[in-house]
Amino acid sequence: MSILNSLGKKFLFFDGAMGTMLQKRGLPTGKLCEEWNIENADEIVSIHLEYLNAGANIITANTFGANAIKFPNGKGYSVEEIVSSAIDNAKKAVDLCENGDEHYIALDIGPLGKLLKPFGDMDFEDAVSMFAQTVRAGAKSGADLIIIETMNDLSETRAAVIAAKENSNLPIFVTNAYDESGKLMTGACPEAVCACLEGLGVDAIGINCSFGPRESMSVIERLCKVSSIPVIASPNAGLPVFDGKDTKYDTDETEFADYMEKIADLGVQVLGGCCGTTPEYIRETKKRLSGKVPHPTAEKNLSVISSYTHAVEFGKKCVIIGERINPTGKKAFKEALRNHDIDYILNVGLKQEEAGAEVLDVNVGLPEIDECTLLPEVICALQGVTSVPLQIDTSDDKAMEKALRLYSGKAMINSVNGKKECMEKVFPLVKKYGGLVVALTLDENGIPETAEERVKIAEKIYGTAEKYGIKRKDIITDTLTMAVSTDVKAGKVTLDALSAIHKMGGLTSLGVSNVSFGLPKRDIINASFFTLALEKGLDGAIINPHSVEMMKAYKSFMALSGKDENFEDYISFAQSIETETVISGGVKESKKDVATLKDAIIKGLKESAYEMAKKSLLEKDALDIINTEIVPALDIIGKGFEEKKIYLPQLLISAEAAKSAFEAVKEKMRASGEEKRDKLTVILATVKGDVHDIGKNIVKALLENYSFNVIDLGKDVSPEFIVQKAKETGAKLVGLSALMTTTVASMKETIELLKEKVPDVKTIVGGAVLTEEYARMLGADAYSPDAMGAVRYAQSLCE
Amino acid sequence: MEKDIIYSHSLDAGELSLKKSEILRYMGQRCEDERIDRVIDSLVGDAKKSAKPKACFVLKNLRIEGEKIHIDDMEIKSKSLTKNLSGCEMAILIVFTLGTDTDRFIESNLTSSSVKGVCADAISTALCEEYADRLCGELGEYFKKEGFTLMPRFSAGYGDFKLDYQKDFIRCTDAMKRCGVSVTDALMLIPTKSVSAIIGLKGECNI
Repeated sequence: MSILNSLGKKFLFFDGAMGTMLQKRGLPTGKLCEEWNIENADEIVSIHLEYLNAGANIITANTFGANAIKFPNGKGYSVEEIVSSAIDNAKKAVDLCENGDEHYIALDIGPLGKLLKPFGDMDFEDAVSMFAQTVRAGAKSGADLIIIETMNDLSETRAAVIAAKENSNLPIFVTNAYDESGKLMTGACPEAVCACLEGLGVDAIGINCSFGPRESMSVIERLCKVSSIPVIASPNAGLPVFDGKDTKYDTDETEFADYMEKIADLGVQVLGGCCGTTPEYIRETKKRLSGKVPHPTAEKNLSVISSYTHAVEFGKKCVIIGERINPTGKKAFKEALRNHDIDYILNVGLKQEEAGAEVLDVNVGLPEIDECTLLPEVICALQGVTSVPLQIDTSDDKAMEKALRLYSGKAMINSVNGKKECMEKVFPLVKKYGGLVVALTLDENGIPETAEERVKIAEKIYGTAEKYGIKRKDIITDTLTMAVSTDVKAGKVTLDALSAIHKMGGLTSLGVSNVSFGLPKRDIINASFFTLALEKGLDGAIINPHSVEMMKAYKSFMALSGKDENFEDYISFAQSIETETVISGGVKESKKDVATLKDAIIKGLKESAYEMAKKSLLEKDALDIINTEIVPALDIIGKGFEEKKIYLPQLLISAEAAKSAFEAVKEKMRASGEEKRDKLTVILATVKGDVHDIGKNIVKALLENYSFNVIDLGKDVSPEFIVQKAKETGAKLVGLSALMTTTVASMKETIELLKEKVPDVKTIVGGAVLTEEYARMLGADAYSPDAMGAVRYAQSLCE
Repeated sequence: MEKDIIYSHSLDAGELSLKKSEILRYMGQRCEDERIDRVIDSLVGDAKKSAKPKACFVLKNLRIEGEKIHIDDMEIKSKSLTKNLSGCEMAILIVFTLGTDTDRFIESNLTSSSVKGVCADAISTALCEEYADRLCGELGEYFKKEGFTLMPRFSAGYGDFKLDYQKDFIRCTDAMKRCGVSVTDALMLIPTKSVSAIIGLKGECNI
């Protein structure tokens, strides 16, 4: 019988600690406890049996660390040997137990001990395959369920769940270890974890380890409030204390059970123990709850998406979704995509977040771009800099799957529509990875002209989704904004359809700005249309958050409709638009201080530099401005730096001012269709294994100012990728950065591969541990102790 | 404090005070510049909000034989560390971190502006050092009462004390579970604003 038949209907009890029991039985420090599955099987069986006799229904096989990191192939026991012996021991214990209870064996999966990207160095897919090995072994040996536990990072938790789903049909339980701030170690709050794991389709979620039952109550309460699936609580036996001889935990079995009773009252259905708990704790807890039934698991009907750390709920107030990460109609964005300028894209995202976007739409589709590679890369990089959830926007289902797989959280998915083929492609992905999917009301016959027909398509989409097991709460219908300039009724049709869906209890979203297509001063129309849509119950607005008109409409509507308590949001917004001071990296600018563009750059005045460059462009041509104003200014600053009269941060302040002057030049060139003539293409990368990129970014900032075309490959970049990009782009120079002695080896490897595959490319290296001599040993063509040196070397290659 | 027991520590980063001179030093700025001061001032609040200072530490017996130090099953060969620990029979292994939110804070600033990035990085380094100093100060006070003086903290990577030992430090302090700190294949600590160190305890009679 599957545990799912009992789950939620009666209290189920996990066992308590394994480690604590093994230490009591003499497991030596430093010994891998999983090895005892083979070397001391009787002890393991007897521990399981003690727990079963104490009333545990689920025993956790001794496989917490049974993964390829602890048990590498070809060294000692294999993962398969460890897992199968662990499950066998559990089976033996179940056979020996005669209390007639229902018993299940859980394959235990603990963390790998490595942090995943973007914060760590482990690839998501590597983590998935390591977990997959354990899962396959467990399923083959006859485990009844999988418990993924003590996970303190959301991304790793997801990797384990995906491995479990892809390699077995077993029920999946997940418990996470939260810290004293009520978050996972990498920042996820319980609501974000819940949204993500429910989306992935796990069978129960909860907490384990970290604290005792008393300290865990607040997190458990938060989980119970939002979870539509059963909740598990397996806390420690309180906090550790030392009694002069041993470490003990400060909560005895009676007090533990007192709290567990309260925890059950919060709505928990599965109870157990972690560090410091013994069979007595389980026995006592079970005794307290005997004769009682758990609260039924209620469908909370919350429409929630989440980022790595935060959850955003739909349906309470309209959520602002930033539309700017999208190449459509944006020359500079397209150029950035072609140049693989990830930082440009990240900046577009960060600026929208600053302007008030609560979700960022991410679209990197261009015909000449391989979306399957770029979309996941951008998603991962964005998650490293922003904590708002993302909306994955692509019509390429393969790119969508790759992005959804990697996305740490529950994403918004843009989009599905009423076409059969589209639903067949998108819905399986929504089901597998979770997500709130935008449903466009169009189908094989195009976009209906009436509201009624659009609603019909929405209903068809709901119905089909249901067949895939996707709930209504995970669908947000876009009734399609059309240009009023071509059909004056278009706005009304969209709004009527929106209103009808809202009245049906469905969520709605719109790409608001399309309405004004073809009209002048589009913001004016957009803002009014936005207000009308908000009044009809719009739940998600895909807009440009930099548009002051749109934000005015939004903030006013929220204030007027009572969704902005005490007008706090409105007041702070109103104040922000009153005081539009120009700040350049924190530098307040006073225009009277500057006479020339050169002066503005030397003083580091970003805004003035931009304005003055624009003004100069009316009279002079671009090249002239670069050669007579920008470059001489940079040279003065650069010289000051070389003579140690000014320091790096000051150099960078001027560099940023120069960059904004260049921005004006580039805008002019783009507008006039003039080709940008770069001096030289330079590739920059922090080498494989190294995750520090600050030095490399500084070099990039300076090189760009000297008109070099810089292609930044980021950090932790493999030699093969650097070589591939050097070939593709025809770069003449590759700059490599490494911060630690341990990563210099991959710098050497990269240089060797470059010399072999693209011998004409020059290499320059830098980083904390390098010296001129060291660089020569590595085979680099040049070394620079600082960013100016890199500029000088690049300049020498142009001569 | 008992031997072989792992202790955890955390505090609100708002409690940490920062010296501007230290921040400037970390970013290599050797003179006053009010433009940079303004950038720093605008970032300190967010730096403190992002930072979640945590530490875990354990007191261990140690034995020195020639140029080798023995702690549990660990054998460290290092002249410089032997010198640092000379006369010590016990040491604290400790790991400090500001957590992953700090990494996100630095990356997002670095993405938007190199000036802000450099400042955010230096402020965070200063916060991490300040936290380490403060906790070490508290430990120093505690051990003073027990008749011990703490030696300056010594990290893997100093002198000939190999980075490889970061792994042992993380393992001995259970730092992945307690503070979320792990070691990459290239032996870097992650989150990036993390420090591991060994601190010798010298009995007063040995000084």
